[in-house]
Amino acid sequence: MTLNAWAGARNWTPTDAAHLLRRAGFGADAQEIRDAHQAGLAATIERLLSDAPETSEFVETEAILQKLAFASENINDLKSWWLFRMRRSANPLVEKMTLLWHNHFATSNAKVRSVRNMSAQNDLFRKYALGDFHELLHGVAHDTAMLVWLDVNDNRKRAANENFAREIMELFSLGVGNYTEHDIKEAARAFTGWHVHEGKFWFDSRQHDPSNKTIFGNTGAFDGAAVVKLCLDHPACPRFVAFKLLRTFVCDRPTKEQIELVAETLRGEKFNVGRTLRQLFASELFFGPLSRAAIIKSPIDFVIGSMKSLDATPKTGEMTRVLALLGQDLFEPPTVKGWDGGRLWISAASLLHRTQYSVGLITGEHYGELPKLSTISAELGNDSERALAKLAETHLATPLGAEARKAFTNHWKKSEGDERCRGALHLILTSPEYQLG
Amino acid sequence: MYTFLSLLALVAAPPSNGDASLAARFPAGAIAYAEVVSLKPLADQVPVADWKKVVEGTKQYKDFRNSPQYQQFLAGKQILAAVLGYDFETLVQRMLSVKTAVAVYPREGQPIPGFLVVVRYPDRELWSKLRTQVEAWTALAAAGKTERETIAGRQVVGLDKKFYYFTEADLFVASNDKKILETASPIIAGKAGAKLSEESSFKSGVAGTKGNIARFYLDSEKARAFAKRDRWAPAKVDNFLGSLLLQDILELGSTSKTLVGGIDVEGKTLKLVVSIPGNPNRLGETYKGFLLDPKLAGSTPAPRVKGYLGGIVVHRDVRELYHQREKLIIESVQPEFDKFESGINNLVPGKNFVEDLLPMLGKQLTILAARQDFNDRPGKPAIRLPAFALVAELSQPKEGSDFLQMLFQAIVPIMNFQLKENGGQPQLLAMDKHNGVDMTFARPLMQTAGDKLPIVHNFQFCSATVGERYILATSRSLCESLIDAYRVPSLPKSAGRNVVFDWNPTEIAESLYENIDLLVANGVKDGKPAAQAKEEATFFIEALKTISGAELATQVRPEDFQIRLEWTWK
Repeated sequence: MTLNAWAGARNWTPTDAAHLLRRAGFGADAQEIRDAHQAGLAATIERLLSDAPETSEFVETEAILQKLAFASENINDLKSWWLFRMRRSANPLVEKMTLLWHNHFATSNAKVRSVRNMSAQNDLFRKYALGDFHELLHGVAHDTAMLVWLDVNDNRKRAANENFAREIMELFSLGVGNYTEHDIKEAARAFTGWHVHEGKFWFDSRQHDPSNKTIFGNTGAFDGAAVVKLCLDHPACPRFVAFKLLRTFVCDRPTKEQIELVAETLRGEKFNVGRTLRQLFASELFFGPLSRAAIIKSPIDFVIGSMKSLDATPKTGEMTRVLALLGQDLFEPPTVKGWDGGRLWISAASLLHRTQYSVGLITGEHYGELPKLSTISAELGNDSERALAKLAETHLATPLGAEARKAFTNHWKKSEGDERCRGALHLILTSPEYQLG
Repeated sequence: MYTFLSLLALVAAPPSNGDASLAARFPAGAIAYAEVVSLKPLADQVPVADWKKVVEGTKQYKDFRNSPQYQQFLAGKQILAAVLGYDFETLVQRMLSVKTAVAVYPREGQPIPGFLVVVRYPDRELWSKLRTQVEAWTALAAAGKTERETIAGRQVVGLDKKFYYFTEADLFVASNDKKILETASPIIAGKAGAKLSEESSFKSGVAGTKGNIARFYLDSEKARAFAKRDRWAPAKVDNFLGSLLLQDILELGSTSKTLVGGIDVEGKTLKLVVSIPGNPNRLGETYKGFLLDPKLAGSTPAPRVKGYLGGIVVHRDVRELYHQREKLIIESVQPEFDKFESGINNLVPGKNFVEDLLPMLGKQLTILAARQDFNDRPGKPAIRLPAFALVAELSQPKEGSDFLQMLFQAIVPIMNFQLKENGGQPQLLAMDKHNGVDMTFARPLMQTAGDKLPIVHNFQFCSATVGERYILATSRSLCESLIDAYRVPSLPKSAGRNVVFDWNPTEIAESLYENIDLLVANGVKDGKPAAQAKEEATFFIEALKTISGAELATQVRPEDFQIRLEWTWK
C-alpha cells in the first residue's frame, strides 16, 4: 500500500502551487506562487525539502532577536524571534514542522520558566524537523525543558512519577488505546533517575530502579532509552505520527485508510519525515479534491499567511499579542496536549479577533508595513473578474461565495487606488473562505 | 493663508535702535505676552555643523536627497533667491535678529481670545522686499476676500473679516480683532495710551528677564477669569510620588497672580527660567513639608560617581508630607497608604512605619544611576543596565539604619522566592567592609561566567550607612563609590534648590552603544528592517553625544519660586 502519485502533476497550475506553498509553509505572495508554478511540482518539492541558504540580513536579524530574548529572559521576545523566522526564513517547511513538533511535544514556558531552555527545545525540533523521528523522540526525552515540564525530578526509585512515561506513550508516540496502565507504571520505573541538575539532563543512578520491567509484553532491565525504543518499535507509532502529519498537511479529519497509507510510507522511509513528506506532497492524497480547503487555518497560518501573501513587514511584537488573543500563544500551549485545533480554532470571539486583525493589517496601522496598495490595485487592472481571480489565486484556497463575489465586483467597479485594493482585501480576508487553508 | 502671511512677515527683522522689548508697542490688559528679541546669540553658539553631520548621515536624509520633495525644496530656494535677491542661507542669517512679539487679550462675549502680533524688521531692505511679497500674496491668494480701510490713520487690510494687518517701514502688525488693532495703533505710533510695558505686574515680573533672547508673561489672574476657573490644577493629586515631586509647583502655579519666563544663552548653555513671583512660603501649613521657607530650602547635589548617568535629588520633609496626605492627595488613594503601611509593618514585626521609621528619616532623598563595568563579577549580562541607588538622609542614623537594614534583610528571601519561580539563582546575603564602612550585599549562589548572561545578573543589591546617609544600591561597586563620596564630613549645599534632576548624555550615549543590538532588536520587533533600526539607533546616540549636560531644578527664593532648565551642548 503506497501513496499514489498525483495524476494532475502534468497540468500543474498556479492554484496548485499556492496550495502546496500554503500547506508546506505559511503561504506565499503572488511572485513566489508564479516562481513555483514556473519551476514545476517536483522542483518546488525539492526546494521545500532542501536546506536553502538564508540571507545575511536574515541571519543577522535572527541572531539579534534571539540575543534580546536571552538577555531579557522575556518569553515574548522569543516569540518575536520565532515569528520572524516563520515570516522570513528561506526554509518555511522547516518552520512549519518545528511548529508541528512544538504542538506535538507541547511544553509551556508557564512552568519551564526559562527562555534558554524553551529556545533549545525549539532548536531541537528544528534540527529534526525533516529528519528521523527516532532521533527526535530520543532527543525530546533528554530535553531539559521537557524534563522540567513533566516533573522528572519527582521520579524516584521508591516513588515513581508517571507523568513522563504516560506522555511519552499517550501524546508523543502511540496515542490512547495502544498501551495499558501497567505499561505506564513499568515505564515510569524505567525513567527513574532521569533528572535535571544545573539546567541539564542528569542520570542519577542512585534514584534509578534497575530491576526488570515488563512493557508491551517484553521483559528486561529497561532504562528510559529502552522504553523510548520500545515505543518507536510499537506498530501504533507510525500511525500516530502519520495522523499528526495528515492533520497538518492534508485535512482536519483524516480517515483510517489515509492514516494507514502515510504510516506505511513512514515505516518504509524508516521514520524519516522529510522523505515521507516528499512522497506525500507529490501524492493524489495531497492534491486531491478532498484535501483542498480541508483545513481550518490555525492562528499562526492565518497571521503569518496573511503577512506572507501581502508581503507585509510585520511588527512581531504586536503579532505575539494577536496570536495570544486568537488562541495560539507560542511557547505557552494550554495543556500537555497542545492546541486541539481544527474546528476549535473558530469561535465567535476568535472570529471577531480575526476580523479585527485583518482590518488592522490592511490599514497598515497596527501589525506592520504593507506594500503600496495602489500599485497592487493598478497591477490588477480594472476588470473585476480578472482582479478577483488573481487575488483568489494568492489568498484563497476555495472560491468566494456568490454573494461575496457580487460584493467584490461592485466594490471594484466603484472604487480606485488604495481604497479599491483595501476594500477588496478586507472582503477576502474577512470571508469564511479565507479561514480555510 | 493667514499663517502663511504671518510666517512670511516673520521671515525677516533684526532689532533697530536699541529698543530691546516690543512690549511698549502693546496696549495694557493682555492675558499673556511672549516675545523673541533675537535668535542670533543662540544661532552663534549652536553647533550647527555637528548637527548637520549627524543628520546628513541618516538614511532618512539620504532618502530625502533622492526624493522629488528635495527637488521641490531646491526649486523653492531658487525662487526665493530670485524674488528676494538673497540665497536661502543669507536669508536665514538676516532673519535671526527679527524681533517678534505676540500678546493675547480677552474679548468680551467671545470664547476665543484676541491676539496681536508685532514683528519688527530692523533690516529695512529685507522688509521692503518681503512687504511687497506680502501684498502681492494678499492680492493673489485672497482676491475678493480682502477689504481695505483706514484705522487710526493707517491702511489696514482685512482678510475674510477674520484677520487684519498693516505694515510700516519696519513693522508688520496683525490681529484677529479689528478693535485690538484700533487700540494698538496709536500706541504703536508712539502716542499716549495705556501700555503693557507700564503695567506694574508686568514691569516687576519681566524685570528679571532683561537681556534674555526670549521671554513670556502670563497674567494668571486674568487668564483664570477669562477661562472661568478658580485655579489651574486640582488642589489634590492622585499619587504620592507626583505629590512629592510636583505638588508645590502645581499649587504655586495654580494660584499665583502672574507667571514669567525667560530664555537666555550663556556660552554653550541654553537657560530657561520660569518664575512664580512672591514668597513661596505663602502656601502655609499644609505645604510645610515642601520646605518652601527660603531659610530651610537647599539640598546636597548627587555625587558625580564614576559612570554617572543622572540623578534626582528631592529635599522634602517626608514625615510632614505623609501626615498631610489627606489634604494633599485625593480620598480614593488613601486606602493604598494603609496597605503600604501594613505591608511594611508585616515585614518588620514589632515596628511601625509611621511611629518608628518616618521620624528617623531626614530631609533629603537622592536617586541616581551609573554605568556598570561588571569588573567585580566573572560574567556580564547581555543587556547591560545601569546600577541604581537610593540614598536616604537619616535624622536618627543608628536607629534608621537598623530599621532599613532589617527591611533589606527581609526583602532578600522574598526576592529569592520570586527568583526561584522564574528559574533564577538564589541570592546569598553577605557582609564586607569598604574603607571601614560595613556593607551588606546579596550575591548569586553561583558566580556565572560569560558575556551574555540573563538580565538578572545586572543586580547585586548592596546596602550601607555612611554618617547620616543610608545607601541602597543595585550594584556593589556603586555602593562603594557612594560610600567614598559621602565619607567627606560635610558636603556643600546648594541654597534654595529643593528638587534637582540632572543627566549626563555622554555616559548615557555610551550605555546605549553597549546595548545597541537590543535597541535594533526592538526596532525589528516594531516592523523595521535591521539596517534601518540600527541607523535610527545610531542617529539618536550620535545626537545625544552633541549634548554635554542638562539640569532641571527648582529654586526657592524670598522673592519668587523658580523652575530652571539648563541645557549645555559641546
